Amino acid sequence: MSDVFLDHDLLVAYVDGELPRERLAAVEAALMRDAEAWETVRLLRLSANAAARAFAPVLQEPVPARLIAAANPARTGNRPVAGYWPTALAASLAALAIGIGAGYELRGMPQAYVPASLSSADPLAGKFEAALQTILEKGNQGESLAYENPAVGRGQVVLGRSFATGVGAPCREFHRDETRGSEHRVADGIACHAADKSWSVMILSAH
Amino acid sequence: MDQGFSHQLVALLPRLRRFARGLARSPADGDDLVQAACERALARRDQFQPGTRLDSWMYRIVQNLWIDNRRRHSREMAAIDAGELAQQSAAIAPGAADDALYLAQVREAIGQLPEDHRAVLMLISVEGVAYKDAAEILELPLGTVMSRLSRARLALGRALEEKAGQREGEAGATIVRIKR
Repeated sequence: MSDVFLDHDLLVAYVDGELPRERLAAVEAALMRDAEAWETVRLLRLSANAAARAFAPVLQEPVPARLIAAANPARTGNRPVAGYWPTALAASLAALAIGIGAGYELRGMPQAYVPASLSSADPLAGKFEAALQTILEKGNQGESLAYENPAVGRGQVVLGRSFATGVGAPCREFHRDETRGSEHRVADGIACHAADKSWSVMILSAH
Repeated sequence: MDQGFSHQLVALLPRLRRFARGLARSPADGDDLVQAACERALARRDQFQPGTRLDSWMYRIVQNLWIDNRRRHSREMAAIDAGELAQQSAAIAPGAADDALYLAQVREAIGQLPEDHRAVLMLISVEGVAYKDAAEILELPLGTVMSRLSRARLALGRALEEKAGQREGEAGATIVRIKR
């Protein structure tokens, strides 16, 4: 018989990679002799993958404007809060992408890049997204990149500070300046890097 | 206003929404929970220790608000839950991919788990939080976290196997009928 008792708590830690390295060999050896424990391992894996996949799509949903406003209340001082805030925000919220993987590996979870622009009918949004992607990959703080669609308008993205959320996933602040016909709008945003190199983009405010 | 803190909060929103969705079992209730958590976090910002993990702090606030909320509304919400779960299953369009149907069933099965098992499962298996961090967030001994997690995962695994068995059974029945 094995010298390791394969209880469920031990097995879940094994499946999740939470076992100390020095115990791994003993547990694997014991598993080889225990078909019932293998079945338990299979179920523990199945459920981990299922749970991660079942909730993964939430990261791809646009974050409701009311939550962004709750997390980042309007700055005090120079600008009126009421009036422009909720509607302007809603309008610019086309932008959300995904995949904040957040610094650690999410076990077994596939994370692909999803385009930030939800309004595929807006050709300038696509240009903005491409410019943002480029400057996020290569740019330094203060650098800017212009984008344009002659029929719709043009704009530029300026890269701001970089900061961490506590898990090591770097996020960048950025500023967008856009003109469509006679309409000129500026917005601030945040983009966070996911484990798979995709970016999650949120527009904070627009006016 | 400390922009840095707010920006970090914003950056965490997608993950907080996902965690809260699992606890509250409906998108609207989950988002209400996240909104309340953001408000509480900003009100108590001076209690956050710089240099510690903001995500852990936020998960704890979400979890604590959820528990408070449950205590206050436990009876009325039990009734709502059943209705909303049914609605969510019904919301899947006919002809939607099998995968979407399966994942909806997974969410439903997770929704049936006991409350405290669900919190551990969401943190560790969905949010990817390490065991020791989950223990800190939930203010539980590590052993309790592990036993709740293993029970939640086994229960979920068995429930999903059972559902898969039912699907095969239905498919088999169809074939028999066609043969006749």
